Amino acid sequence: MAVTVGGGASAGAGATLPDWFTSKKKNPSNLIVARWVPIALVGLPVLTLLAIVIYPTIWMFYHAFQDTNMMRLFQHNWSFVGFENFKTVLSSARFGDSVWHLVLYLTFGTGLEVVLAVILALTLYEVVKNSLLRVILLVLIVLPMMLPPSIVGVLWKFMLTPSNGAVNHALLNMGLISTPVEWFNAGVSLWSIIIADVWNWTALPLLIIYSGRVSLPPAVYEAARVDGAGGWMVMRRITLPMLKEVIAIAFIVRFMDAFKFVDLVYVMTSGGPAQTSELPAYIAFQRGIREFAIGEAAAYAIVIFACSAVIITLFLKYLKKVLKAQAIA
Amino acid sequence: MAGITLKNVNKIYPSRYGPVHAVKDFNLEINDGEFVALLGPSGCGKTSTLRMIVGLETISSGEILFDGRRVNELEPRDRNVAMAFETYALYPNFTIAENLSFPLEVRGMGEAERKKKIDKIAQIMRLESILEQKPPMLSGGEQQRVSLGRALIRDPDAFILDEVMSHLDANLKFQMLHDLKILHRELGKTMVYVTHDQMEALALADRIAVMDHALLQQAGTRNEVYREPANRFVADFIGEPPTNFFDMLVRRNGNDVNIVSEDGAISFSPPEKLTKVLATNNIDAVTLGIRPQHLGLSGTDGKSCSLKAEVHINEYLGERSILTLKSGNETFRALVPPYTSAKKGETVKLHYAPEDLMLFDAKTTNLIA
Repeated sequence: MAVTVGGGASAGAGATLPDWFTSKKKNPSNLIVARWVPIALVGLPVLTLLAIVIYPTIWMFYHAFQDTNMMRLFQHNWSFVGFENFKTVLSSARFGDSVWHLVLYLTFGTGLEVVLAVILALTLYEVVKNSLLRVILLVLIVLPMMLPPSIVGVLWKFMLTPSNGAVNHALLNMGLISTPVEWFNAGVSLWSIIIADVWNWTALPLLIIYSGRVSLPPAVYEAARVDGAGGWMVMRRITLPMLKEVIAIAFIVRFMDAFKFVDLVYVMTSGGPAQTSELPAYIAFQRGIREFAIGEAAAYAIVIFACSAVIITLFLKYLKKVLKAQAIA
Repeated sequence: MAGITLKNVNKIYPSRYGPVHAVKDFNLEINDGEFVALLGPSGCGKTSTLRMIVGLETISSGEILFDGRRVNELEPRDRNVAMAFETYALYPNFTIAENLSFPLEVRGMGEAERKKKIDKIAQIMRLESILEQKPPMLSGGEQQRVSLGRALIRDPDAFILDEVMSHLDANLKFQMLHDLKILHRELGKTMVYVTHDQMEALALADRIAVMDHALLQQAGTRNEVYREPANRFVADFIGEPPTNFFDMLVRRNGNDVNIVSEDGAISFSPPEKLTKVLATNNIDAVTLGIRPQHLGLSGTDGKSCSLKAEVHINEYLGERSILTLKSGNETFRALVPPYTSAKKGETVKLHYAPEDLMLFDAKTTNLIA
């Protein structure tokens, strides 16, 4: 059927519209679809979220204030203890140590990853001009990130074995050390985890920063060339400042991962020896899943959550301020 | 100060599908202090030519000379040219003052001296009020002024401007055209201006170099490229609305020459000068060009010849009207005063001066003169 709708304001008058458009009678089968499909499409994901995220979160918040452990959980006779769990967490030396470990990990692990990523990404962009070689190198760099962290943990634990691991073997042969390094002794094991983590995850900030560099406008670099700026000057005054936000975002992504960092710790050292390589999330995991001190583990989780939320909020605020100053956001 | 000479300049880009010849045997002499526009459609090689002058692109063969000095191997900074970019290319993390200061800073100029120069340029380019802002906050026109200011500040020998107005709206464009013209007059520096807009080129340049398909088609004054286009392309590209072209045959009758369309519907009488030329050579097929501006409804201003055509469309554009006319198989346009009452189907008499006819060899498309 022909639809002729007159142009402009006169659309209503004299226009012939299809029957289904003007008909007052609604199609009953359409009505069922129209009513239930949106509800189902929105409802199912909401229910799923409720079941696997929101309910457990509320449950966790509730038990953080109870003296729940496995026994009491099964007997349903936990009782309210106020902030007792939080007192336990915040006053324990174990937690204090783990926060210090986290600071070390953030500074030397995450920090090193981002610094390495900046250096590697910019070198890759500025030095390697052959595009095929560039792709090959990128793939090689990204490979470690494609391994599951548990495998990376096993791999590095194996390579760092003090007696005949590959790393000690190589260092001894190169004459850099005279006696094997005890990679899993107290005070060293955290660094072993950091080494494995840097190997595993440097590629992520690298990819973010590399793509940031690729998307910088080439005309600005041509302008700098015509203005007469040399390579270092351009890097220091133009490239790095323009990449500031991208680098910050790369850091935030890895920073957020640090708060839930459990896998390598669990596989490589189990937090040991003598809890010297424990991170907060690992303690929460240990207390809750291994030792069933559910109330205390929940308190740990909430403390970690609160700290990370505060820090990330501050970070994002700073980022927004920077972006606003540049009129991007 | 620098005159720029391009001698047999070629640019060949390698590509997956074989080499692309972007600029072919380009020869042009740009005098010291001259304002030259490189004009052509996109992809004609004008930007490649300009980038070779600046030094952002290597020269495949040929020579570029600044005041007789070969610059092929020099880096952009050693050629002492300044460039303004189509996309402005301001340093986004610098304030406007820092943007202006950067070329001086690179050259190791002291802070006090830099400050003085920035103030002066800011005054010339009307940037005083936005010196502390950052580029993304500015309008296109302001950004372009900063970009020009940054090019100006280091006192270069030549200015290279790449499509600097293509992103400005009409009002700003007129303002910038004016500013640029004044700037050129005051500074007296060599300026090379790349554009695809013939209006900008006509408005600004002392001389226009028209390019198409990697070749320089014509270099000449505004009047030359407008009145005596070297070939059909130049005639078509310069002027708005575009020139009317007719495929015509030359009919010789002793000393008398007539130009007639194949179906005989239209005929033109060429001016005396061309009659003599056509009487002696043996070109039979020509392309005749006449600008819509040169077809009128009245026979004044030396419009001594006429032809008849049927009105097809009458477009009223405010300060003028465009008539689209039909005669035989040919469709063409005439620019007439507004409020012309000619209606569709009406037959009108169009007057023209024979001197305004442009004849091109149908085979080579070159101007017959």
